[in-house]
Amino acid sequence: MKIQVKLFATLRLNLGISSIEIETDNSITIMEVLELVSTKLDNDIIPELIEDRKIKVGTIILINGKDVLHAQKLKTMITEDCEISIFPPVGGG
Amino acid sequence: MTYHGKILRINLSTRKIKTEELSQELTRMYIGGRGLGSKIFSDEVDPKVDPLSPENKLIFATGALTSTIAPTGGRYMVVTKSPLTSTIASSNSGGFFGNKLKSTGYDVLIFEGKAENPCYLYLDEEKSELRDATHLWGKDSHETTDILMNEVGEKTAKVACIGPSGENLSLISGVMNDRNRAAGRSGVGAVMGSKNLKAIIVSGKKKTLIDDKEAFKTAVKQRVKMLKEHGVTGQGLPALGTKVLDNIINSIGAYPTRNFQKSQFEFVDEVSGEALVEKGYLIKNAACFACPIACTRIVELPQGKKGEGPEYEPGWAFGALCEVKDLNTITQANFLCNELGLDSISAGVTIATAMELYERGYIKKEELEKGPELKFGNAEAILYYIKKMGNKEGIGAKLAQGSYRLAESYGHPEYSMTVKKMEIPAYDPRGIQGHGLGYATNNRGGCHVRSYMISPEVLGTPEKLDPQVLEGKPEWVKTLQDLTAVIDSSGLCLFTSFAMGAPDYTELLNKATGFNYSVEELMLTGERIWNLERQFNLNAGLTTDDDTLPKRLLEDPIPSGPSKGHVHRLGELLPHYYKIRGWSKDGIPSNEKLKELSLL
Repeated sequence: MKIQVKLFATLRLNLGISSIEIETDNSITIMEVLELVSTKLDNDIIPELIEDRKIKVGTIILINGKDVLHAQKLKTMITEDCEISIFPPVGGG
Repeated sequence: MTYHGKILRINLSTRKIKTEELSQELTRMYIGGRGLGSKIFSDEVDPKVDPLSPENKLIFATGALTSTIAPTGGRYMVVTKSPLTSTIASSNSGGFFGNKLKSTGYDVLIFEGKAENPCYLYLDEEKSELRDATHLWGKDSHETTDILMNEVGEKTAKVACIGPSGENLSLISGVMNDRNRAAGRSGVGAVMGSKNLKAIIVSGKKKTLIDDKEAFKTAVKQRVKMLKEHGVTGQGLPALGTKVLDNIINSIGAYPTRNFQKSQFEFVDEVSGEALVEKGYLIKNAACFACPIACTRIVELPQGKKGEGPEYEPGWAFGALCEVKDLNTITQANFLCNELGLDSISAGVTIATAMELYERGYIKKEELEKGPELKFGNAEAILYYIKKMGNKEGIGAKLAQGSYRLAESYGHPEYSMTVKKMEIPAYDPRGIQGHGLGYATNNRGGCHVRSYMISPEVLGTPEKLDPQVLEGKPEWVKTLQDLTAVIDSSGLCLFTSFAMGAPDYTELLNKATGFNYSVEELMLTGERIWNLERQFNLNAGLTTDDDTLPKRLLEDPIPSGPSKGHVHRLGELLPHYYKIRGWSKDGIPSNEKLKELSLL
């Protein structure tokens, strides 16, 4: 299946792209999505988002607008047609 | 001891100016800024006073850490009774004016009465003078600042002033300082205008004394490091400013669109913080006094116009809420509000209300006097009606009264997205339940910065809470309200709280003032300030019926997106909030609570 991953904030500005499509045969976890994105970009985005195998405070990873912290965190499985949004630690208004 | 111990009382009616002593007991009990200003104000002013009458007072109060090296220690607070909400108002601002105000050797200014003719206050360490401002009347905030700086001829002087909207008594006008910084909310500019006080210019070099200089320096160094190393204050805010939020709040389906009829904006990519960078508008970021974060946006539009902003809130208000997707126009709208001295949140929300009233047929085309149609998405209308609003021309006279009075004048207040008649900011409470409770219980009405629940409910700091879960939210709201009262009274920026907590503020305050607060005592001080404001509002005539949200947010489910189907569940949250506050079912603080807080 094809999955659309949208990148935001400093991630988007530093990489110069706003979204990337990845492809997988199996249902995978969000952690595996991040690994696939890093491979495809040839740029490891994981250290900016994750520390000691945990999502960094302030990092936001959404599947269809829902924060994975309220699902199975990095083990949350993604499904067909879902939209993934990734924000490095951001700020307030 | 960071206080100079001096209050300057300026009677504008009699033109008498006198210096009074500021009691140390009061500073320990109320810290400074918002707390101290609110205490002095509520002791001196009848809660039922007409806000635009000479009997209302206008206080400028510096914080305990204003004009120190504490990170962001440069803020001041304007305290008065709001003509917009009829509540006690405290509106604060950064920039450099606050530091300079304290450098005059005064902690607090109290303006009373009403000047016969337009005037401004000149203040330095040696003299305080009321001077004629007839030549400044009608000038915008930039022109006023430039003329005054030229007139006074002191390069380091700083100016706070009102624009034409404050002169015209617009209920959504603010006080501007350093050209583009605003004590924007609650209509404090109208109170200044009602007193014929156009501006304050301050100059001085008086140093703020620190109780334990070395220990304070060390404590500051540690907190600056914390702020620099934190993802939000060290990276996100410097790179993208507050507009980093457009995409995130839109992605979770809580980005109010079309006057809160929707909660996602399909053109968010055109107007977001990222777009501001990608379109090349952003030149650089800048910082307020003593701030290591530097979230200010310095921008230049392709047509050559330079300025500051837009911040997340005005960008959203003139953008998604009005369904305008032209970032250039939105940025110009922000510039215009700064020049006219309008609260950019309230101005945008009011125009969105007008658009809904127009599209529903309540505002008739003839009333627009050949101006652009007030239709959602019409970028031209935004700039046109901001000018009308600021100058109170044509239908602008109605717009200048704010969203609630506008909608009420057409018999449909339900289309006004306000709490206590103040315009709600850029987060749909139906998608973020705790934040909505904060709006409903806020002592100054629809405001997001008195309990910024977006931090835990969306951004995950200090920990991530599910935005739709109700359990524990009243406790969180109360804690943030009390903590924010402490931060506002210290003279620091709320953004420090992304990285800092109550023990950090306690240490900074203790080393600087020598007060030796415990964390518990400091939080109790925040609670005292919150309850003092509440008491004022109850005595002004507000009731539990005012602790509510617009009907749309309580009854109409979000139509689509990640928050689809949700309404705000205030009825389930409010009773518990009152209970943990120690208030009755009618929201009245109990005698026990008032005694505990030394308010009785």
